[in-house]
Amino acid sequence: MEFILRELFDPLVWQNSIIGYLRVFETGLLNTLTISAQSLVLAFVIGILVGVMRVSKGCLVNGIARAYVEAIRNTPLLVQLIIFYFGLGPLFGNNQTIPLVLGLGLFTGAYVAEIVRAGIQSVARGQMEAALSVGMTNTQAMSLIILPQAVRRILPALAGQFISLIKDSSLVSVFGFAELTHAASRVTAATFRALVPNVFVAIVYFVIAYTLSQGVSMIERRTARSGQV
Amino acid sequence: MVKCEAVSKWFGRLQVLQDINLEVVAGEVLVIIGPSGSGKSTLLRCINALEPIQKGKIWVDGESIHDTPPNKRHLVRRKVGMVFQQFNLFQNKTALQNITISPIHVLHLNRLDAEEKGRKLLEKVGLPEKADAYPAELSGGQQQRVAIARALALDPKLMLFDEPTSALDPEMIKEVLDVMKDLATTGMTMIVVTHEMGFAREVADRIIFIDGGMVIEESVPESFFTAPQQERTKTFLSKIL
Repeated sequence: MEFILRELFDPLVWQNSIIGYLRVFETGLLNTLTISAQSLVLAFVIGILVGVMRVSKGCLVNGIARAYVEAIRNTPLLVQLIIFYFGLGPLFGNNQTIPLVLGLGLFTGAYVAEIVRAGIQSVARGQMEAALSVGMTNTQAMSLIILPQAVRRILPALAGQFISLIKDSSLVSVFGFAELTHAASRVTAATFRALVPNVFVAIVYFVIAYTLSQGVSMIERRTARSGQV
Repeated sequence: MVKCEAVSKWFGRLQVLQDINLEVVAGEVLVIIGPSGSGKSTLLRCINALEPIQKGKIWVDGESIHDTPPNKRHLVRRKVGMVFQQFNLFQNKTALQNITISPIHVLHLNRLDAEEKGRKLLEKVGLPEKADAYPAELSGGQQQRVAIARALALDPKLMLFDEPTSALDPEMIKEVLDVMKDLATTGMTMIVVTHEMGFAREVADRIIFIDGGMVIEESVPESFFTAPQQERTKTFLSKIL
């Protein structure tokens, strides 16, 4: 126990395994943010689309959406990523990023879809009827009235999901993608020290995630009056 | 303006409307009364194509509702304004935006023109100072008056009122009824489902009494209240008057 504490607080260890490798961590952080942002956009688009499909009355549309959500939610993310990276990899030439973004985006998209569905269903039915009664089409009612209210309500849940996405993105280090967790692994391999680099990386993840959740709370407070973002 | 021919509707196996025949001419104020669950709200919603009917025919302003495909129904609804029991104002829009959103997005009116018209409508319902308030910041009566203005924003040829005062505090009922009375005097065609007998007596051109999904009695207000013909109407009136 004692040697662990000693290592954790040893300035020399920090100097050798963190300060000395700052460039590696920097690249890793940048790559983590990039792949998370790309997957986030994909997940959001898929989530809204599939979420709307899930409340559709059409059996086929609803069925397809449901099948997608269930398939994704009931299989491990790592297995999905392996399928995308190695199984479907040849489809994307030698590009390393596309299959991983696709994997992360489709995974998070399924969860976002369920959140969006719940959000839509939580907006009172009367809002839809009122929108239709003033001559809007279904699509207009959805995009002008229902979704803006739904998104505001599901903001905390969405933020949680996106924070999960950033943390889940650490899995792509398995495929040698040079993101934050991968940076820690590289430093571990070079210095034979696993504790400090990974604690450091954990702190960086924490700062990103915590900042995000605080930012969302702020948006929530600011939009309390109209109930829309 | 509105014609219903042998309209029948079922929810699952429960028949909620049975062979309803009804005609409303332009400028007429028709009041529908009846006990809860009698089908009066459903009838209104069928006229506005919010609910499909299984049998019969409905025309509004010469257009048939019964065979309009789902993707064309919004075109028919533009001619019909509807006011709901629970107001159903768009919670994410201010009072003015509630009124202008449909002219802007549905009729593609330019925003300034729509707002000018919106402010006039707010004035008409007595709420010019509430343009920028959100629904949650308005009282029930104020919300309902905004809802009436919203329904009027598309210049409808027909207004449907579904128990517009049933969810209101007694003090606020009058302000909403006054707006409706004004509207009636301008010659608007109106179908009003209500439990406000005073309003029915004063404003209605004709009253129908519905129970069990059927039209039980139909007459002018005077004879409806003083000399109802049907037993069922008499018992109903004796309970509420």
